[in-house]
Amino acid sequence: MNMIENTTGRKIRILVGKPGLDCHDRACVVLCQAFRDAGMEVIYTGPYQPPERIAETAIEEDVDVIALSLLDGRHMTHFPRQMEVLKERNAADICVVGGGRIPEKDKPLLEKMGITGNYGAGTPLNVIVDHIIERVKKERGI
Amino acid sequence: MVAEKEKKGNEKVVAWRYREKRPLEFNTESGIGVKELYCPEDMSDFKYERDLNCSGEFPYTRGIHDNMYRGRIWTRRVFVGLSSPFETNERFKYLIERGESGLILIPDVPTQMGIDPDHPRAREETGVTGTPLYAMKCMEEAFEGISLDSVSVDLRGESPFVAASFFAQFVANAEERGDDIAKLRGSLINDNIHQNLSFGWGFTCPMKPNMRLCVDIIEFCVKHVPKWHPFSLAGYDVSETGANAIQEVAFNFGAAIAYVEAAMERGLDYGDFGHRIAFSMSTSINFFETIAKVRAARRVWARIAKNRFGATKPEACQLICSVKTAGSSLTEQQPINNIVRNAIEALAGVLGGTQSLDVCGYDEALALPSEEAAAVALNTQHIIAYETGAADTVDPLGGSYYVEWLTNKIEEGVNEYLEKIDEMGGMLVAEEKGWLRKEIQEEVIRKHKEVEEKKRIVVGVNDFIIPKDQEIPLPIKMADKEEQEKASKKIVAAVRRLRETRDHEKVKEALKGIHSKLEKDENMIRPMVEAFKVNATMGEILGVIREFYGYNYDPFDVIANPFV
Amino acid sequence: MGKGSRKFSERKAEFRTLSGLPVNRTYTQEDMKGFDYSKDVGSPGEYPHVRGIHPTMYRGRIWTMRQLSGFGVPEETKERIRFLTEQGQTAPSLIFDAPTRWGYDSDHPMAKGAVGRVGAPIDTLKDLEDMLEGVPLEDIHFTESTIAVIVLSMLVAIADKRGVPIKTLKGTVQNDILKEYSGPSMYIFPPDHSMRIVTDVIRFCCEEMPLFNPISISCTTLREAGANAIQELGFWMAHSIAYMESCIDAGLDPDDFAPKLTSFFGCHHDFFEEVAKFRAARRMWAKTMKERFGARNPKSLALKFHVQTSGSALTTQQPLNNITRGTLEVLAGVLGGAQSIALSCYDEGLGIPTEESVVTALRTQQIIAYECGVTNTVDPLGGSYFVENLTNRIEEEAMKYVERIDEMGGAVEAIKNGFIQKEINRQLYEDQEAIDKGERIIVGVNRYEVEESSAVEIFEISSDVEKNQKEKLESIRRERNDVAVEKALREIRDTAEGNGNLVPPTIDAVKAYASVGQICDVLRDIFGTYKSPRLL
Repeated sequence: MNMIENTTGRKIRILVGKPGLDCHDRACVVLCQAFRDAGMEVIYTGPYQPPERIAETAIEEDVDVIALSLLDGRHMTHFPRQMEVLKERNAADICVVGGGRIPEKDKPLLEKMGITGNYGAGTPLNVIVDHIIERVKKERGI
Repeated sequence: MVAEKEKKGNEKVVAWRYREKRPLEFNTESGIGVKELYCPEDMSDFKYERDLNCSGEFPYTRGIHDNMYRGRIWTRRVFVGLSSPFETNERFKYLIERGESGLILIPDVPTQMGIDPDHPRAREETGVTGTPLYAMKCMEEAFEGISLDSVSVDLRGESPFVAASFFAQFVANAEERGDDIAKLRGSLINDNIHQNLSFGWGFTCPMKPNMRLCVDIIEFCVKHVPKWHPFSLAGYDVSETGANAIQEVAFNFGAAIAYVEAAMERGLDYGDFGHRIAFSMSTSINFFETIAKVRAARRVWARIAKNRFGATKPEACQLICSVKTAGSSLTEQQPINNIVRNAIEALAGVLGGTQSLDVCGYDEALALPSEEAAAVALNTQHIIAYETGAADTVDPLGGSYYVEWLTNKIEEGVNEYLEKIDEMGGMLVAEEKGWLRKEIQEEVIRKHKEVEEKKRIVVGVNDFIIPKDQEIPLPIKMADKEEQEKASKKIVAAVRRLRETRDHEKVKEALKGIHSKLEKDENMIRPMVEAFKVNATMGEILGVIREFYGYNYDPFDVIANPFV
Repeated sequence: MGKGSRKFSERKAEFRTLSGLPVNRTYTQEDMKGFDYSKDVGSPGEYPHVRGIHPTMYRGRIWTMRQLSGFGVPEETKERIRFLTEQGQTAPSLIFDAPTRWGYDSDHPMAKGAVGRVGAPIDTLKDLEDMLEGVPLEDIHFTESTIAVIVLSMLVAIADKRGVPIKTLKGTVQNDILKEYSGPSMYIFPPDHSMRIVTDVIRFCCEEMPLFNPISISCTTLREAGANAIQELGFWMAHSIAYMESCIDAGLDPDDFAPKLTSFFGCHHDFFEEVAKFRAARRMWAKTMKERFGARNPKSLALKFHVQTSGSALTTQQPLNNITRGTLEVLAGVLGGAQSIALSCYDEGLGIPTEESVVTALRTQQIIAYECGVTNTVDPLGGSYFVENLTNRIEEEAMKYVERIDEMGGAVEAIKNGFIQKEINRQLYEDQEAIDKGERIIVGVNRYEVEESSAVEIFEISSDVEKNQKEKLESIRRERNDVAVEKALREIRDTAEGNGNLVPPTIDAVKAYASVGQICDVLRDIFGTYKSPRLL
């Protein structure tokens, strides 16, 4: 049993998703590795996924967390839509965290929709990992 | 209050930073261990004629022309990909006025995927990170008022599938304007392996038609557009995906070998097109590695051309490259620092001996370049060209113990990779197996760890950090959701209007023409040009080709062929 | 050689470096004939030190990063030092305002309108105390030559008050007056008397402050006034020889003081010429120390130098372009093996650098130090046919100046007869002509000019500086012990008339809060003032 299971009850399952048509997925490669290193089970959809597909995969794979990344400035379009689709499919209990090129002014708006984190380039990986663990613990009432 | 502040200040000032610990080991960015000192002993195996020779002579390590920038300054470019062809045209003119000698046109993502702006998946993405180029009309607007035989144009088409459509649009527009296409100058990224590796667009552009179109473009240019570089390899994109210097060169050459062999199978003579191959390369922030990389690449390629393809003409052994400063080395923190990085990288490109240079905007990590950022990027090149003297003698670093050693090291590394790729059965196999991507991913993770562990310092990111609100305000045009949506809507409306107003029968006829050429296995470029001239769209033309090869008309399988 | 393909005919009939050396199309092994690695270049840390003075260079320690600080009232300068230290500056460099450097107090009629403008005002010890409050005294660079003896005395006084033994004090005072006579610069006394003060400072440091650099020999001001790289190097060497001789005449052993001499160079935009200049400077220094002065201490042979990137290479047009220029100049300094670097800020042409532009200057150094890998190996350009060839030619040409000046009877004579100034003016004229004719391109000035609206903020100095400074001086005058001041000033007068060292009485005077103006008035009275021959 690793640290994550100790602190959250079971291994965290996380889906890393890139909605829209943004192709910059170097960060996703790094994140997947960091989540794995932290003891999470990671599913990466690859880029160019419509929100429906991300939601479907997330439900099928029974993930705890969806991590969305966009660097083309389209987060205010795709992130909210992802939340709507999750709600439509009764999967609003999945935690959604965001990241990418997100200006300060957008962060509170995203938080309000339930998308937390919203980290930018250069954030230490452990900050992101810790945030996800904390978020899951909170959701699970630990 | 004052006293408290004083006290706090005092504590902070106590230690100057120079007592910091320095690393025990030093590496280049691609992990080559660097020694403390390089001296004549490191050159013991060195033979001047064999390893360097004069510039303009085999193996061209020191440059492909005998007088290099003393004859002509490299082509100075700054990329442009604004949200509409009209804005792009304005930016082109702005840059030409400021001394730009070559244009770069970056298409938006839907275009790169071969779908039109009114495609359901494209509608909101149109014009977001590049210019929508779906019909001849787009080229007409983008190049309005610009003389096409006086400026060289770099079309970043990526996959041959899309590149062919791009190029056909460009040629169609030139012919409609009455330009002589034999005089067109420029280059076309035409490289399926790399675009799939970097962007994962394989699903939109299947391999088989891609290889065919790649060779079609080469063949067409050899016959009709002799000044054009019909096939430029996208090493830059692989580098941005995370490949290190050695991988970048090796994969560039691996792909080039695959395409050249396909063209030779078609019956083309390497001697007829070898000199028209171009390589797009990245710099990295590592100054000497970049210089050594470009020099090593010239030497390796000269030997490949001679030994593998049996090239006899000197030009067919000369590696022509265009270098772009690395977007991935730039930071969104303290963007003004990116001017510094760009200057270092641009100088490296020049000391490496590139034919063409593209410098990123300081706002690259944040947004599409503002006018101001583009002007600074261009001026960086002017300063290096005219003020520093770096362009006044050929290969000024030639003979440096370190640079020559590093050039050899990179050559060794590249050759090792090329052997592995050959053993695997070539680049196409290596790509299909996912081996290339795995190699790059390991590199991405390694580099990131180095930054995380502070083994590699990135100023403003893991050291020398300042709060966002204390950063210097610079002209940066941040993406705005409303503006983007407005721009996208305009483009979508334009493509719909085009579909309504054009002569439907003529389009149908032209698409039929494409189909019949496909059946006859003939060169596809001319019928594509003709189809664009009657206002067929890229999505339609590529859809027909996809269907012919047994794929869905639409790569996303959302829309059906309206002509059936 | 080189019959290879030529696609384009040459852009210019001939190519030259900024200082006029012809540049060949290509340099090859042929250009290395007669080259003897161990004799001509040698390993770093070994004679003749071309590749650097330490075996590990930046692998062991990154150069010292300093930016000039000095404006407004002393407290403002203090804030700037703190701010820069937080931003990663490794040691400060201080500059004083014009009245201070001319030896006038802030309430002197000559000072009107100039207080705190291009540096910080220092009237009495109190000002320097306020400026350095909370700042460690270690490794401060005082860019000060006219009143170097007063500045050093003030530093000693502060160290005494803080209980820091001056034997442990590191740092530098520029104390290089010769350069001032040939440019549009600052000096107070005639050259011979100035040389005496310089020598007194060196001797005092030799005896009392073994870790302190009592001089930083520089021809940067001449460079900024129009000299080219070869002239800068030639005059620097000639000046260095003059200081050496003066110290030897004063009875010092070269091996006792030569290790403490440091130098200071500019860096202009001809990239390779600058790199070659720094490498050549090390060889010239090593050879001169060994062959001319018979120095045997290895430390006497190793040239330590600071680089200040050129302000005159910057443009007021499109200031952001200056960031590119600064970057390339720092890179040349690093590839040349500098021990310490400061940048001229990109907005320098517009006024006192803003906090933001100074940070950018520091960031430039940090990116070059930590990101771009040029610090990973020692002298990365060593062996380059072009660079080695250029290093040789620059040394040769610069040594020609040294010979000519020797023939005239040394640097002080060359200053007095106007030779150095004439040479610089000629060069300045030629350069301006080349720019006017468009033979030399300056981006944004004579090529690629645009109409612009400046996006750059300009730093404003508060108009209260002069008033505050005057009031402060008044209150010090009221509070200090006039008897002690008078006594100390008399001591200075007596020493100046005789042969003693001026530093000890000056220390007493500053401790009694005698003002800079008072001390200089005494010296002016004894030594007189000087007007350089006008040569235009």
